[in-house]
Amino acid sequence: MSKLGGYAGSVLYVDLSKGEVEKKPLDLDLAKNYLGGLGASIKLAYDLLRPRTDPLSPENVVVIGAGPMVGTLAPGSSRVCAVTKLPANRAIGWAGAGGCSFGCMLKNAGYDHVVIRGRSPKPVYLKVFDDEVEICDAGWLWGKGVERTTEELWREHGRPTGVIAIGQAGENLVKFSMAFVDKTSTLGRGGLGAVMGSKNLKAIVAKGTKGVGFSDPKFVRLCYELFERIKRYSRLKEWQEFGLLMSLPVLPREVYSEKLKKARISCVSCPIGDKDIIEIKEGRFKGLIKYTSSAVNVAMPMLYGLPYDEAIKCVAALDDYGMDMFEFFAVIDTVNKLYDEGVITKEFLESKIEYNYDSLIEWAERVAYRKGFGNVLAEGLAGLVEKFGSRAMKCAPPMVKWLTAYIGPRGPVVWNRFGTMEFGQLVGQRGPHAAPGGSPTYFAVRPLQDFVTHLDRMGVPEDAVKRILPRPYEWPQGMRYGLVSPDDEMGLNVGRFTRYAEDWIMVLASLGVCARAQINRFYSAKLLADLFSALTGIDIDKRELMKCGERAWNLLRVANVREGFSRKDDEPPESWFAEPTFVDYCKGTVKITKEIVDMFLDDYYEERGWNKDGVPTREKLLGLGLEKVLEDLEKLGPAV
Amino acid sequence: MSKEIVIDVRPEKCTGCLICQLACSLVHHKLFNPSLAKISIKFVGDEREITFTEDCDRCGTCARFCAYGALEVKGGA
Repeated sequence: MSKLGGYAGSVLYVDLSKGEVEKKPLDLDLAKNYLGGLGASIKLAYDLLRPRTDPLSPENVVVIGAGPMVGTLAPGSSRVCAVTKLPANRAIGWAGAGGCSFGCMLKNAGYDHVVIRGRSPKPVYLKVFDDEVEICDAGWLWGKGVERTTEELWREHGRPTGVIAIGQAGENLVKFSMAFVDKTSTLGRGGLGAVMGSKNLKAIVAKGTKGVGFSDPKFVRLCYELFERIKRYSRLKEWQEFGLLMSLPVLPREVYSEKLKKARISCVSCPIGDKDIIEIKEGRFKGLIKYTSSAVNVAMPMLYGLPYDEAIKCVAALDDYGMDMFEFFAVIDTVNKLYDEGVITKEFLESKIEYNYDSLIEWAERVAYRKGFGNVLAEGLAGLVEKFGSRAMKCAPPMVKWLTAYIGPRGPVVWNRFGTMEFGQLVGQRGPHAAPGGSPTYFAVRPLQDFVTHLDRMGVPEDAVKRILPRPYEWPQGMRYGLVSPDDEMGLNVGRFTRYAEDWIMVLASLGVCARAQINRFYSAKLLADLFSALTGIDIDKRELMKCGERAWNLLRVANVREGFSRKDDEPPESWFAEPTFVDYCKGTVKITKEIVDMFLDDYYEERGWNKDGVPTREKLLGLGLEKVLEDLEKLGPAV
Repeated sequence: MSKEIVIDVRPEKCTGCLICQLACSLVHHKLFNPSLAKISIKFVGDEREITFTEDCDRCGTCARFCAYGALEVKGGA
C-alpha cells in the first residue's frame, strides 16, 4: 500500500511453530472497508481462522491491532485490540484495552497489526523494535506473574517499551485468563491469556522510532480544537482527579484520595488520565503499589464484604496471575452453591470456600496453578457445567455464552436499570462485555431528550432515532410491551439502540479511540469522519464511516455463526426474571420481563438486518459489500 | 521560530500521556514521533522525570498541550 497518513503501513505475520516472521504491506481495502484497529483485526482473523478450530491449538490465531489514530495527537487514542477464538466459550471474541504505551509504540515500530499463529516449542516472547523483529527466549520469564514479567522486560528493553504479558494463569491455560497491557489494562476476558499460553507466548514487546504521519494539516487543526474543547470542559479536573469513581462510586472519594491514590496515569494521548497507581498507606499491606485501569476495579471485591486493603491485595494477586476477577468470583459462587446443594461433596472439597482474604488468595493460587480442586475451577463456568451438569447451570450466576453477566440487579455490579449496557450483555459476541453496548447508557437515568443529541453524535439516521425514541402516542409498539398509557412509557427501545451503540464502539475501536464515555463524548461520527479523512487521505463521510463499523460487527457475527452461535446463545439468563428484576432504564417503573427482552431481541435483530435467529440476511451482507462472506454463510446450509 | 519562554515543570503532575512529546515532534518534524521530541518523559519507577534536549528552543508547544499542569508557560503566556 502506498503510504497513507495514520497507518504504519505493515502487518507483521508471526509463525511460532516455524519460528518465522514476515512483514507484509497493509492492504488498502482493509483500511477503506474496516478502518483499521479492531475492524481490520476481525477481517484478518476471519480470513485465517478455520471454523471449529480448537482455541488452544496452534491453528488458532491471535490478531493484535492499533488503529490509524493511535500514536497521533487525537485525544484519548491509544486503544489496542485483540481478536482470537476464546477457550471459555469457543466464540470468536474481541478484546480492547487502553493501550498505555503499547499501541503508540507498535505503530512507531511500523506495524498496524501483528498476526500470531502456531505454537512455539519453548516459552518465547515477541520483540518488535522497528525492523528488528525477533522471537526471543522467555524461559527466564516463564512462571512469573504479570507484574514481574513486565518489570523485567522494561528493565531489559527500557521504557516506554509497550508490553502485553500473561501471568501463570495464562501459562496454565486457565479458561478465564487474560493478558495485561503495561501491567495496567486488562485484555481478553474469556481466555486470551490461555491462548497465548497455549502458544508458549509469554509476552509481546514493542518500541519504535518511525513516527506516524498525516495526510492533511486539517487533522492537526481538528486535534488542536478538540484539545481546547476538552481543556475548557468544566468537569475536567474532577474527572482527572477521580476517574471512573465519578460514575461508579464503589469506593468513598476520601478513602481513595487520602488512603490510596499515589498517581493518576494515562494512556498515550489521553488528557483525562483515567488510570491509577494505587498505594496502600497503612495496615497489613502497607507499601503495596498496584497499577490498575481504575481504582474502581481494585475495589470490586469490597462487594463481597472485604475491607478496601484486602480487596486491593486480592485483585493485585488475581491480576498478577493474569485472570479475570468476575469469572473467578463466579466460579467460587457456583462451587459454594453446589456444595450447599450437596452436589459437591467432601470427596472433592473439604469445606465451602470462604469469602475472606486468606481463603481467596489461597484459591487464586490453586486456580492459577490448577492445584487440586482449583483445576476444576480453572475450567470456568462451562467446565463446572460439563462436570456437574444441569445442577451447575442452576447454581451459576446469570451467564451468557458461558461468561457471567456481571451487571445486574443482584450484581456483582449491582445495577437494575435496563439500558444498552445491560441488554448488550446478551448480544455481545464474546459474551457479556461492558464496552460494546454500554457507552450510551453508562450514566444512569438521563432525560430522554439527551439521547436525541447523543444519537445524532453517533451518526444514527433520523428514521432510526424515531424507532429508538418513540413517543408513546406515536408508538404502536407501546402496546406490544404491555404499556397502555404515556405514564407507563419506557421511552427507550434498548434493543434498537444497542445496534448503533455497538457500531459506534466498533468505529471508535477501529480508529483507536478510547471506549470510555468520558473521553469519547467529545467525538461525533462527523468529527471522526473528518479526522479520518484528513489523517489518512481516504475521503469518507459519517454515513460510510458508521457503515465500516457495521460491516465489522456483521463479519464478526458471521464468524460466530460459522462456529454454531445463533439466537439461542443470545437468550437472557432465567434468573434475570426472578425478583429483584431489571426495570426500564428511564423511569424505573416497568419490570423487565422475558417477553420484553424477547421483543428487544427481535427489534435488535430487525434493526441489524438479521433474521429472527440472529443470522445476517443475504440483503444485509450484500448491502455491506460482503459477497464472499455471504458465500461462506450459504455453504453452511439452508438452516441459516 | 517563536520567542524563547520559561516553562514551569511539575513532574509530580505528569501522567505520562506523552502529549507533549507528540506535539513537539509535530511542530519540529511534521510527524507524530515521541522519539524525535525535544522534551522527554522518562518513567523512573513509579515516578516521571521531565527533561529537555540542549537544542530545545522553549517554544512552549508542549506546555500549551499539557492538560495536567505538569508543564505551564510561566506567566500564563
